[in-house]
Amino acid sequence: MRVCAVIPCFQEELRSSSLEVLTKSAAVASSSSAHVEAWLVGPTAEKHSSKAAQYGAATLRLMELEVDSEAKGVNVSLGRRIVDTVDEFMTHSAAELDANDPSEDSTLLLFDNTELTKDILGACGARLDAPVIPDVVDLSWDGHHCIAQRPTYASKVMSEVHAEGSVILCSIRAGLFEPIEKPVEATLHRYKAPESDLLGQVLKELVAPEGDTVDLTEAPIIIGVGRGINDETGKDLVAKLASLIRGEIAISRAHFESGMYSHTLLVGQSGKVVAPRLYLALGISGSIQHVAGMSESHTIIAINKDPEAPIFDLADLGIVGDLYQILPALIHALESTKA
Amino acid sequence: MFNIHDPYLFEDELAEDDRMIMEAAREYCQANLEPRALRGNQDEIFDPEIPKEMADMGLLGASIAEEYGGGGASQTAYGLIAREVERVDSGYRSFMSVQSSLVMVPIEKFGTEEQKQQYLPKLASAEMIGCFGLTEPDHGSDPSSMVTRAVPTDGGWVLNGAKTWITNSPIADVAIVWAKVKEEEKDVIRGFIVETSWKGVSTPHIKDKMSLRASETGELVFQDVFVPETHMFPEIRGLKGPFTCLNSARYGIAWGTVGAAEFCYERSRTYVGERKQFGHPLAANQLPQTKLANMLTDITTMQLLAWRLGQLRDAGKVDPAMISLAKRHNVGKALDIARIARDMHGGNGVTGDYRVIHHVMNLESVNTYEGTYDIHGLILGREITGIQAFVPKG
Amino acid sequence: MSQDRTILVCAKETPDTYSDLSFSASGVQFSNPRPVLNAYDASALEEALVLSEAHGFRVHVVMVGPERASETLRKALAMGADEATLLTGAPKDADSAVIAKILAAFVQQFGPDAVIMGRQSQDTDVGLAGGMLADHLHWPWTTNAIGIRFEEEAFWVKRQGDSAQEWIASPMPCLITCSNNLNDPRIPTLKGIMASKKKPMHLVGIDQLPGGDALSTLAPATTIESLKPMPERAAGELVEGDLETLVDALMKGLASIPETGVGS
Repeated sequence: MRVCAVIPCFQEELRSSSLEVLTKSAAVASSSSAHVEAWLVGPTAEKHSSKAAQYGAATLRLMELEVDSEAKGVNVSLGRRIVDTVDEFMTHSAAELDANDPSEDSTLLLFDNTELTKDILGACGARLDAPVIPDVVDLSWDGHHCIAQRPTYASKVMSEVHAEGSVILCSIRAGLFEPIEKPVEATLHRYKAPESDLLGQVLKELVAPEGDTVDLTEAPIIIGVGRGINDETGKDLVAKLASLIRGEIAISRAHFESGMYSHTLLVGQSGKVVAPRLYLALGISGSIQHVAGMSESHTIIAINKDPEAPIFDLADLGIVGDLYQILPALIHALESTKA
Repeated sequence: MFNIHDPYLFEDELAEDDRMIMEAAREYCQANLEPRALRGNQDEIFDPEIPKEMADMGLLGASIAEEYGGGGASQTAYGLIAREVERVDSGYRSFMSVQSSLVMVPIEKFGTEEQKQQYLPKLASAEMIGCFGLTEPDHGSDPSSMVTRAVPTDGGWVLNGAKTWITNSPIADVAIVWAKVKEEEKDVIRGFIVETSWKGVSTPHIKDKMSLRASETGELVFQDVFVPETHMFPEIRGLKGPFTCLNSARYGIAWGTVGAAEFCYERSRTYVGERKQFGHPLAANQLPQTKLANMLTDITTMQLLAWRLGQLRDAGKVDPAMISLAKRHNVGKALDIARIARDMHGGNGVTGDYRVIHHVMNLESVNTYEGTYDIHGLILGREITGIQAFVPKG
Repeated sequence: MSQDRTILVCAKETPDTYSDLSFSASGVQFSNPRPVLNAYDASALEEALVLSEAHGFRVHVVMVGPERASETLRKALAMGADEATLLTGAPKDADSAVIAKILAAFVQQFGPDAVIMGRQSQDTDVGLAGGMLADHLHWPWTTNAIGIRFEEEAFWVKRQGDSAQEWIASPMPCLITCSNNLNDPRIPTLKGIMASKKKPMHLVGIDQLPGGDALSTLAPATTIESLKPMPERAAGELVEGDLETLVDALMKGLASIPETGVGS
């Protein structure tokens, strides 16, 4: 029995969502006495191997791939090859497992829940003909049965999903599992990259507009901007606040339609799902679609002029007032503290 | 499961076409009209884009024949559209009703082939906007005493007179005008299609309305207006003409006010669920609960009346008194519901933000126009007793 | 230009998850009792119609569902699709894997030039069917499209990734899944609704598809065992008052989160 953390490797630092996947893999494995593996795929796989061992992976499988440097982490260059790699590793390692203990031949594959994963998780499941449970907030596994909790219906309902099989795939929602170090002695296996077949797909252009390179699912502090911010003055105030509290900016769909910010920053059912340490909601009313994308945040502070705004029903701290008065005063207070 | 929006599940009974038209109209109205309604009502703005949008959706002349640019839909579908539009604002529904029922219906029913070809497609596409002139400053419930008159001249008629409380008149390109004509020494009411660009026609805006502020209302004034012979309805004579149109419009009102009442009920239900006083939602108290129960009971009767009336119209089995009954009942109940909804919103109920007071004010007009509540009572009274009581005895 | 080319839109019917939700003995109930066309699939259809208007593709919509779902499928015809197929007889608790296998059989038989579908369904938010279907077909695929162009005999898709957007070109046939931020799907017009009655809608049992016997007996590998209300976040403190009070409360709140660096 083994729990395998599938880790895309294309950045200098391992993403915190990957550390969460490793941590969760170790936790699930310890309750089912399973072995923990890390499957590191991508140009920086070698670099991240020691970190994977530090977080509890006793077997490291490395697939180093050359990826066009500009297009690191994009799906057409990396995503497709993760599917092939997962398939390849399953075949290779199945032989090893058989030799060890054929009766115990079962695998749980854990992924993060980034857009990179969402792009390929279905294909991985189809390739392995194995059940897949995406976007889970909790799970247990006994070797053949997986019981997972996942939010559905715009995060209004928690559904319990069961899957059965010798191979099961799950992706876990980012931000919910505190990464915990658990250093182990690891054995390393290196694999030769399979021939890549992009099926004729070509990356034509990478669009990363200014201030648009942030990966919100990784950010510990997010400032959510809603319709209450509606002009350049407001935008400037938000930018200033963001730099003072080390926050990244996100937007609601209502605000996206105003065209003031990029699509990449959209949080909600139709955008990114985030669970930061702090979600500071500015002028966000709290529509169900938006709440579906941030309701798992550890702390929510909301500022809104409407005391009846639904966002206050889930905010740990609600501030009723005009943003255009509060933000300058808050920025002033923050600046005087820092000074 | 008990459906708190449609307790007797009448929407399940609709034909698939009608239900699809209802869903589409609802989607359009909620997405495109509702966001404009607050400013429209507060600031007396009728967005000139609305007619074109409604036309693109096929909501103008929905039940007019397809060969004339209409939708060819059922009477029930027309009613369901009115319900969705009036859920947003009676002013928008008034615009749609006038164009569809009071302008397109008489041209289709009474017009010559040339008149139909000339006007109906343009009215359906909102290239032209229409209005309907029956009511006069001194003659409301008693239109037979009208003073607007057409006298024969070479090749047509010369029209003089004034009409008032005319929805759409300030933005109209064409008016259906009812006027007296001498035929064999007797005054007979005849119908004319009058273009507002013609010499002698003016359409002054009526300002400072406190109701139906999101739609345009004005007068129609005719000073020696030459109307070509080709612009008279050839056959129809007497009040049967305008009353045919009014029956169609009143039928639309019976449906429309279901939407207005549903809006007020839904807003009240939400408000008392969210608003907390003395540490509990208002909805936890007995008074708000029974008020909502009364609203829903009335709304259910309104829905079922309108739905059945639609079936009767589609089956060609309708009598005007049936329409009077539904118009009177549904507007009366909608007005009651809107007033109670305003009350349930407390102080917030007087602000435009919650939009309930818009419906209260609008429904005051709807209760009056197209036959007042009491006049419809007298129509029913005459049917019941066999005695007309419009003309006072004494 | 290419009326002989077809875009297949795979659509799903879902509960109206944007209406009010309540829990009852029989599970989750929505205040709107009628199912709707999945919003993400509606965006996919809208984009297919736009591509069709510009490049002359035929648009065919396929849905796996019960016979009753024909009304939802008719909405797709009313929006402007040319033809529709309802695949009936799937197991009631079919998961994405089962649906993808049924769709794969249909696509192989039908042979469209592209498949465009929603990236997920608005009820379960699973989002696996597209990738699964593409892998079964061995087609190139692109997910989470926020823009689509047809150029140089290829579909160019602007894909929203984690921290950037990519324009990816795929040769035909290919599969694309759409974000619902791609467009605002058109509302069917009254004329579209009336015209939809005359458009072909095929009801096909999945046992009629290639490999149909096996499809009819597919067992889902994942099952939803229970649906429960989300654990509610308790509403915290609500602060009203003068500016000083508000800012004080905010400063305290921010200082309680070490990552903000406030008060350290």
